[in-house]
Formats: sequence, C-alpha cells, structure tokens
Amino acid sequence: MGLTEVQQSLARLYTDGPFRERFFANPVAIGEELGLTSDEAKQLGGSRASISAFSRSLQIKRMGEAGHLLPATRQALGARYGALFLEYAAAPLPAGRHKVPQDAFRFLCFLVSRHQASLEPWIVDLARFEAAWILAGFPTVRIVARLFRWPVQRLAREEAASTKRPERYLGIWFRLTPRHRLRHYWLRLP
Amino acid sequence: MLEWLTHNPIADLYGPHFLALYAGVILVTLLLCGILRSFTDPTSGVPLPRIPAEPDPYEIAYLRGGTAELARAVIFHLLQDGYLTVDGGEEHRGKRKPSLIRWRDDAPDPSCLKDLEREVYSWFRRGLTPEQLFQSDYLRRLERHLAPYEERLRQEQLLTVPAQLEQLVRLWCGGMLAIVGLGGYKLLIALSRGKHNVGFLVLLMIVGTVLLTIICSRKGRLSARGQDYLARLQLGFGGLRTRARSAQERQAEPSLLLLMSVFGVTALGDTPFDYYPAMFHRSSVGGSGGSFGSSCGSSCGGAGGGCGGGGCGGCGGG
Amino acid sequence: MSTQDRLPSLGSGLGYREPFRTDLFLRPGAVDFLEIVADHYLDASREKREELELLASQFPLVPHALDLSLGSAEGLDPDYLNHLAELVNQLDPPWWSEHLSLTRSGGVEIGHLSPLPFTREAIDTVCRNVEAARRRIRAPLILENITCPFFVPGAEMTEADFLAEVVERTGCGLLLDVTNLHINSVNHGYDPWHALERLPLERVVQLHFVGGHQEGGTWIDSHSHPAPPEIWALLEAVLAQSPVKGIILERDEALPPFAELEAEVARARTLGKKHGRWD
Repeated sequence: MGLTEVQQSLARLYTDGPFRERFFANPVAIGEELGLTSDEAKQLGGSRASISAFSRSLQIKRMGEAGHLLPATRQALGARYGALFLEYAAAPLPAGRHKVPQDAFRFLCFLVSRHQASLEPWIVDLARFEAAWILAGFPTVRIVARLFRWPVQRLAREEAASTKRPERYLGIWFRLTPRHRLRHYWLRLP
Repeated sequence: MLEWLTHNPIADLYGPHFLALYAGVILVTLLLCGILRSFTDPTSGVPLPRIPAEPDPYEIAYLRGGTAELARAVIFHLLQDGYLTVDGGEEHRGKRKPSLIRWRDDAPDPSCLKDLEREVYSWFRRGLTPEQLFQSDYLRRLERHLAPYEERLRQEQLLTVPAQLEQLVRLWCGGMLAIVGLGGYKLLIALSRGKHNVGFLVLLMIVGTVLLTIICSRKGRLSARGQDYLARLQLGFGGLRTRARSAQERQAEPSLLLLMSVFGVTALGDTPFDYYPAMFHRSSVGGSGGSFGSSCGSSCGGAGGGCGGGGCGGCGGG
Repeated sequence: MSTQDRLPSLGSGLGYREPFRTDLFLRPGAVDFLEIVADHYLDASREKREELELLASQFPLVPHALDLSLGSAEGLDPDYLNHLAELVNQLDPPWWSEHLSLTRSGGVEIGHLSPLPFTREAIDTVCRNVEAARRRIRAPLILENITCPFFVPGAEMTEADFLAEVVERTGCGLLLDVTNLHINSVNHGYDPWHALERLPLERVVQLHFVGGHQEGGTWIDSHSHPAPPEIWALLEAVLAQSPVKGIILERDEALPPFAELEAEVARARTLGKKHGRWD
C-alpha cells in the first residue's frame, strides 16, 4: 500500500460522485477494496469536505475550459449553462492530449441529443454549429458538412439576435491533409 | 520514314488501350508540372519577415491588391479623417449604398496630408463615383508614388518576378507538348484512317489542357513568400475583425484602416462603414485562404488535436 | 557559473491567450516574452502550428505544460511525453516548466492539477519522473508550486520544505507562483512570509502572479483579477532576493482591456529593473 494506491483512490474520489458517497459512508471497508491501509483510509475519510470541495472546483474548471471553446452557445444558454454542463459532467473527462476540445464537443452533442426538446431551436443549431467547428479543427478530420435552419454564423457573432428568423444554410468544413489549412464554405439555401 | 510515322506502336494501338495510356501520360505530366512548378518560386520555404512594430496599412494594401487596393485604402483613410464624404445612392435591404465621394465642406487643411493622400484627395474635387474612378486613368496617376512600396516588397521577395513567369510559360509549353502533341498525333492518325469515334480522346485532351493551364498559371502578384506573409498578417491581426464591430463612425479608429488593408473592403461589412464594401464591389486581389469564417472560428477552429476514435462523429442531426 | 546563472534574463511577460494575439502585434513592446501552454500545441492543426510559428518569430517563448503529471506514482504517460518532447525540443526555449502535481491516476483523468502528499515517497516519485522527462527534453525544467485546496493526509513536512527538497534533489529551478503561495497560506492559516523564508529562493528562475477572488472566506485561484497589494509585496520580496530571470502575468478569465494587462506587466518589469534582474 503506498502512493500509487492513494493516488488512484484520490483520482476516483475527485471525479466519481457515487463512488465518493460510498467511500465516505464507509472509508475503511471501501479503502480495503482499493488497497489502502486502514490508516490511509481513515485519513482520507476525514477529508470529506475538502475532497468534495475540490471535486466541485474540478467540475467548474472543466466547465470554464470547455466554455472557452463554445462561447456563442455558452452566451446563448446564459444561466442555464452551468446546470446543463454539470449534468453532462457526470460523464468522465475524455482521456488523451485533446481532452478539452473533446469534452467541449461531447457537451455540445449532449445538448443536441438530450435537450433538443427543451432548448430553443436556434440554440440547438448554434450548438451544432460550434460543434462542427470543434470537430473540423481536429487535424485528422477531413470534411464536415452540416445543414442549419438558423443563421448561426450571424447568431454566433451576436447579430440577428433580436429577429432570429429561420434561414437555411449549408456549412462545409474541409481540410485536404493535416498539413493543409481548414477551409470553410457557407451557402445560403432557399 | 513516312511509313513509320503512320505505323508504329502508338499509331497502331487499339483505341481504348491508347485512351488508358493517354490518361496515364496526362496524369504523369500534370504531376510532374505540379512538382516542377514549386521550383519556379525560389521564395517557397524562405523564413518570413517579422510583422513590423508599426505596420504600414498602405504597404499592406498594396501587397494584397496592388494599385487599386492601395487607392481604396487611401480613400477610406480620407473618409475616416474627414477629408472626404459620401453622398447620394440608395437604400438596399436596409443598408445604405452611397454612390458619390466628394470633398467634405469642413475638411481639414489638406497640406497636412502625405503626397500620396493629397494626390488621391485631389481627384474628388467635383465628386466621383467608384465606377468613374476605376474606369478612368486616375489609378495610373498613383504610379509615381508606388516606387517605395514596390522596392520594399521586392527586396523582401514578396512579389513574383518576371523570370518566374517565363519559367511557368516554359513549363506549360512542355506540358502541352506532351498532352496536345500525343493526343493530337493520335487524333490525326484516327481521322486519317476514317475513324470518327474520337470524342473521348478530344475530351481527355481538353481536360488535360485545362488542368495543365490551371497548374501552370501564376497565382496572383504575390510570391509564395508573399502569400505566406499575408497569411501571417491576417493571423496576427485577426482580432481586428471583432474589434471593428464596436468602432464609432465619427472616430478615426486607426485599426479600421489596418483591418481594411489586411483583409480587404469586405472586412468593413460588420462595421459602421458597411457601405464601403457595397461601393467598391470589386473584391480585392490575393489574400490567403484558411478562412475560419465566423468569429467562432478563432476559438473553435483552433482547437488542436485528434478526436480519435472515441465517437466524436455525431452531432450532425437536427 | 551554475546552470541557472547561464539562463538568459527574459524580463516581464504574459501567459499567452488567443484573445491577446492582435494586441500583442499592435503593441509589440508590451511584453518581453510569452509563456505558451504547451498542451495547446501538441499534435496541433496547421492553424495552431502557424500560430506557434508566428509567436516564435516575434517573441521569446517559454512552454508551460499542464498534463505531464510529474507526481504520478505510475510514471509518465509516454505518449504525452513524446509529443511534449517534440514540441519543446523544436522550440529550443531557455527553459520549460511543469507543475508539482497529479493530473491522472488509475486510468482516471482528474482534469486539473491536484496536490501531492508532502511525503518522501512523493519526492522520490517526482525525482524519477523528472529524470524520465530530462532524458527526452533538452531544455532545463523548472517546477511550479500549485494551489492546494486541501493537503493530502499523511504529510511528513510542510509545503515549503517539500518544494525545497524536490528542487534540491532534482536540481531543477523553481517557478514560484506567488499567488498560489499566498492563497495556500491564507486558506490554511499560515504566514506566507514564513513559508517564503523556507523556500530555496536562490533557485527561483521565474515567477507567476495574478489575482484571484474570494468565495465564503476561501481564496480561489481563478486568474480572474488584477494582483492585489499582498501579491505585489511577495513578488517584490522575491525579486529582491532571487536571481529571477522572468515574470509572467497569468490572466485567464474576465479579461480586461489589454492596456490594463500591459500596465501590470510593465509594473513587474519595473520592479525587476529596480532589483537589478534585467536592464
């Protein structure tokens, strides 16, 4: 029992809410499952408030970092952004070098798939628009094509906010190879 | 000899087989020309100049679009600084589209202007429309002011040189010799033998010629280094686009002139000067691609890294 | 002459964030150098590579990594280390930096910098990981102290003693984040000046500073406000005693007009000049 087991336990405590509740309900027993000594488990068990607070701060940090990559959706959601992101953030943070854009992308997909009925249609389209930009930004992605029912480019620039009339557009993002620049084409449809 | 010219492996090759061979020859020719073309521009890969501490909007406008773009930049500056004003025109889709540019009644003293600006200012004494401006010889009058810009840009190897054009022409001729030479020869042989089903051969020849011309055409005034440098300027000053939307029309916001120089008149479309692109509908020349489009692009599009195989392909419905 | 003495004095600068880009070119004298977040440029798209080339052509750059997890008992992520090494070796900076923290364990991504226990075992782990990083990355590594919202149970020493021993055993320089030092002291109820006395100030290569905010009496390292007087006092005290080579303002949130950031950077530069750290 040593640093490895303590760190693995801490990582789970920071990021897994249900596990955290189970652990603090019975730290020694759960600690034994994790390979902690009784002393280690008791010490961690006495840090419930701190660990819970830190866990919360991690979620807020995650929310902030993802928010930088979806500024228009974040602004459109306003006060709802926090609650919606925290609902999404029950899922673990993606692993790998590109966890933040992947996290932002997955959150936007979560909005579109799980909250399409409860959100204004133009916000859903805006989320799809920003998701397309994030997806197209990955160097391994070659082409992204999306149909939009709202003038999302102007909405992203905070224009047309007062009118919000539906207008159909086709957006195409294209990158020939990872060494090439991303090209973006925008076509208004009848 | 004549016998050999009319009967040889190429002349006697069965039609469809020749078409396959010809398509291969065209492809190889195009590939070779594409590769050799990159050698005609020795500036490719040369380290770029630094963005100057005090960028000159006129020099940048001249780099991007030549004399016409320089004129547009100077006129815009004179409008901003209150030497010129716009008049007349019509409303279209709620947007103003003035038609005339003239001296302002309460313009400041033009003796403070640079020579280039004073020259342009003088054109508008009685008022001019943009059409009149570009259809006359006004732009030629700017030529004596262009030498310093031209010299600096050539020193930095940002413009193509005549030698490059000659090399491109030679490359094109070589490619045409292969494509039209071989195709034309087979066409003649076919026709001389009474075969008139030469449609595919002619089509291949036309397509090959068009593609070869595209590959060998000079891509604007800028050298490879010039195009990359312009892209670097657009990257460095991309934030001006967002800033421009809050510019006050009455204030001579210097960043608007730099914005126009780096990105062209269309960049003013989101500003209180949105009539300016409508007046000068001829778009600027040059400018690198890699557009991010919306303001979203600078944050979203820059998200580096691989999506990997983790189910990122969704979010396309709705 | 020690390794640290041979490092160049860079002056005062900013942690680079994309919204600053145009202002940096409109006001090129505002900063002496930039600190870039290395993670933004690992396996990057062409656009990010061009941005990096642009910044590198105009400013001295120091890469600052976030996710190497130097405190991880499981060792370093080889994939991350490979990409980080490629980036840092390509940039060839005067130094690069990482945190004394844990960011992943047992296959779980923590998502941010989490504190290490102040134990001998943790020091041994950090030393091993630093050595593994050194085998791949040529430039000198400097190590940053983080905020500790809580102290991992089982501590055998104070944070200051932990930092001192890590620096001593690894031979790395110190990236002293005076804001983090201050926040930890206020939140855990000890005197930051006392903690400062116990740090190996002669090993400080670079400083970080910024302002945070308070929530219910607890200071949050939000990087969202101008630095308050207490931070400036700590900063100047370190400058007076340490051969600091560079100072970075780490503003991330609630970005003010660039002129305000420029003023803070200028103030830090002036303090550095006053104490003879640069001309």
